[in-house]
Amino acid sequence: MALDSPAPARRQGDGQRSIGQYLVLAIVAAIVIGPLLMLVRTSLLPEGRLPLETLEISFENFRAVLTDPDLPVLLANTAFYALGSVAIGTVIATALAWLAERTDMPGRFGIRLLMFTWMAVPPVILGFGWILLINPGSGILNVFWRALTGGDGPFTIYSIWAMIFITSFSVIPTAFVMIGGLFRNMDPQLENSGYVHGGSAGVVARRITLPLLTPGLLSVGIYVFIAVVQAFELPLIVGLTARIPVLSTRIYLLSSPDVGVPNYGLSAAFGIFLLVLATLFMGLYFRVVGAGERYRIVSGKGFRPRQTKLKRWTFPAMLVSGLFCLLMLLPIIVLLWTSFLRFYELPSLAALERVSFATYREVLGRSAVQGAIGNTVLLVLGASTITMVLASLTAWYSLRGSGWVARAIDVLSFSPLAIPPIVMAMAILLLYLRTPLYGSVLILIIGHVTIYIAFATRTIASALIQLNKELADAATISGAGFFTVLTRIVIPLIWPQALNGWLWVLAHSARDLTIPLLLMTNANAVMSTVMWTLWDVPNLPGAAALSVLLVLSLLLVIVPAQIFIARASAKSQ
Amino acid sequence: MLAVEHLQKTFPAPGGTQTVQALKDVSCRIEKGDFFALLGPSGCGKTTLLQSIAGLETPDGGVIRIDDAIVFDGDRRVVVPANRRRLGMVFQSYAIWPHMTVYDNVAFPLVYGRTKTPAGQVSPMVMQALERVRLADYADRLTPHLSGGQQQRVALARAIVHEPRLLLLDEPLSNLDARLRDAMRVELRQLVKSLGITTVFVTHDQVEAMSMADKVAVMRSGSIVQQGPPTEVYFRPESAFVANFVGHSNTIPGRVTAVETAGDLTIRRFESPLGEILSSMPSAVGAGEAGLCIIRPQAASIAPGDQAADGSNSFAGIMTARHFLGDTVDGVFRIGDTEFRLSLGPFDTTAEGAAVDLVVPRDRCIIVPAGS
Ligand SMILES: Nc1ncnc2c1ncn2[C@@H]1O[C@H](COP(=O)(O)OP(=O)(O)O)[C@@H](O)[C@H]1O
Ligand SMILES: [Mg+2]
Repeated sequence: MALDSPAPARRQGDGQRSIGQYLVLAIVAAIVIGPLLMLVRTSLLPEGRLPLETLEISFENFRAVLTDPDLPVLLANTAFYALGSVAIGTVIATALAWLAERTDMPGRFGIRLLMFTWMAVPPVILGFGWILLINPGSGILNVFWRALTGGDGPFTIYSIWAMIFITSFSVIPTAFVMIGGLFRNMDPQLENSGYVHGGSAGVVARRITLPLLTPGLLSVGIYVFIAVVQAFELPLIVGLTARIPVLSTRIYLLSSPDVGVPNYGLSAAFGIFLLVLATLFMGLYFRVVGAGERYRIVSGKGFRPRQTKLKRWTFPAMLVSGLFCLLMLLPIIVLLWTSFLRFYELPSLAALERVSFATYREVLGRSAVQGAIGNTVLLVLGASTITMVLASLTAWYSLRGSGWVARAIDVLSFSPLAIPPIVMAMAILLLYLRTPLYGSVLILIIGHVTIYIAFATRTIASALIQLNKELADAATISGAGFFTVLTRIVIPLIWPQALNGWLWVLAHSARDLTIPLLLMTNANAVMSTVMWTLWDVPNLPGAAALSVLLVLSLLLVIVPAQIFIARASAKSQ
Repeated sequence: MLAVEHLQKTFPAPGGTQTVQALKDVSCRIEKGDFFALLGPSGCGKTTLLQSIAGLETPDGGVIRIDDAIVFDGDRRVVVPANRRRLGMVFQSYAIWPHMTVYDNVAFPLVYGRTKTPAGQVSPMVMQALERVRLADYADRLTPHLSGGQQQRVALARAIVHEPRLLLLDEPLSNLDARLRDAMRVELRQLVKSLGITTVFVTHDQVEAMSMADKVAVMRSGSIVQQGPPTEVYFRPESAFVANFVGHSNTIPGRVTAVETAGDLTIRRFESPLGEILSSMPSAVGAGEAGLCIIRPQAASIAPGDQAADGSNSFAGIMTARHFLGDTVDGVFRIGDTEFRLSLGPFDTTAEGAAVDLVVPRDRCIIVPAGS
């Protein structure tokens, strides 16, 4: 009878799948947990010893951290810096996002384009540009001020306010993209019913729009706050000269001091301190947004919200938002100017005659720069491709897998979000210091895969979640195997999001100074570290020329790719 | 043939809430070529049952057999994967792949399915399936711009193109507008019947189930509460739930006082607020037990005079309201203290406040257990 008829197959494919599942878990665990274990071990070392040398455990470093008389100052600086940047950044971003998404202001597209391509601009470059603009002696804006009024220029780069100001401009694009998504995804009927029932524009904005947006804005605020607490590059460039130490720069200085030997133990202890802080805020973030929203990512589908007609406010709005965009672009313009000079000088008619490509020729002629360009290409392609492949597998198994393995993959791939890059860079340094990997480009790739895996997984997971499960089920019912479903249905439908994620990782890998700087040797210099070294010399035109080249090459990849993605996803909708 | 035996499925509780028992010991049997409807309110487990049959959901226990081959057996841990069950399915969202043309969508089961179709036969089979759903002219179209009705027919063509052993339809008509739905009811049944494919059809709409199916199973919170041909389910509901879900009914509480047998006729005497009701229909309720008497609004009529002599039940009532619904009039009567609804013809002229005699034949009164 039934039992003798064609042998019912056991759940086929399950075996292979769980092997893949364990493999992914092992890889993610190795790249995330390995460095962290090393970090913990190092923080517990007795003074002057190296990890693996001894089994002794000492809490001396933590005692030193907690009794450090500088600790209150560090914490206060970090908190003030982060809160200030977040407050200014999100307020401006909200205003710009509202103008760009919800009004009829001409030039909206320009703002959006600027914000979406901003990821091509490394924060380091912003620091360079602003130093040239507002340093107290020869800052361009200060000189102009002096020429106009005769008095001393009011600006100084070397204050916490300047740090906050510059950082808030660097977070505006991220906040803009997230807040723009909030505006776009809001059901216009909620507002319309407010108007229909007699509310004025002001009342609707205050009683309906703002309360609806508040949870979203709060979560954006916390997200940006975490990013700023973890930020390292701007505090390094602006804060070190200004003697405004924050937690991230303290970690760096302890592990790479200008004079004396590195104190890895103390640095690791500070690193763990910062990690705990960031984790607490991350917990708060998930509480605010709700666990289910972790995957939520901006998507621009569905209804068109109503547009406010600005009427007589059109011109003032354009003027103010134009000014903001100009302020964002100003440091880049200054660098562009500097890169065409042989020796740095202030913009003037006389200097205009000395403009040439000489610096580009000189810099590109150096073999160190040529090597760095090769390394950079290797790094960004390797990091972005490996990250996306690993993230796709991670997202797939954490969503469609089962049991504790899926949950473990999920947690592990998200946890780097809470690990500050400077801490991860330190931990990777400690782990690989005495291996052949140290000094190679591969170690930089590993570092970037680790710090960007969380974002990439989030992108793919949200694409998979938005992909109606029935689309894949329909293929399975038709008799297609696991692999066919993947290659014929899933990948063709989510590749735009995957490509977007790939671009993001590529750009951030090219921008990043943290990992390459901490792991730098003569053999694995990349564009960002060479830029930094030239700046330190100081060879300002050289650093400027490299900055311009880096931004230009990123734009050349990002802009066409984003247009291509936008066209392709518009077609299949 | 499809046989489902003692199927169980419990979903784990998301975030500390109660677990959901989506299927509680569900059994049913569907003969070859039958059109079988699963009818029930939303959330009762219809989709879960269908997905278990398809292999997209793994039940916790029970047995599923298709054409005598076991595809799932909880005790012996047999699970045939969904892509080896040789089924066709139309999803509630239609699940038309937006990156492919109509032709490619329909060709998918032939090209990528387990049993590969020879390349030369794919095109004729796809075109034949498209012709059956009258979409042959649309073969080269991209799918995102198709209307709802066209998408539904593409989904149907894709589900039948590879001559599946079983066709599963999950609320295929619920996304269509009312007029199209009426037309598709007839067309869908004709199509499936002409192909002779055994079909399981999920719906929450009793009109769809009644008009399309050979056999109906009514589900309620994870269990099948009654199954049988549409007429049987309609005329002989076994519970107040079925009576009210499949059409309307007057549900009158009371108690069976006596069961009398005269010849081959068994009569139950039912004591109720309306007075005594006689029922000649078989029932599970014995003498002395409480029960509910089900009387359809269409079962009763207004007696022209005193002539309820054939043993029909007769009640004196007063019309309290009449609602004109177009093709029928919903008459509300008061019998004693109880409200009673009666479906009248549109030309009926009984006025509000009129005293009338309501007559209900004994074989139209069904007694079901109390609390069902
Ligand atoms: N994946 C799931 N996880 C948890 N509960 C589920 C899941 N799928 C369905 N349920 C629950 O099981 C019950 C039956 O669902 P379903 O079969 O979809 O009902 P129907 O199709 O009849 O509307 C519902 O209470 C539903 O909330
Ligand atoms: Mg359903």
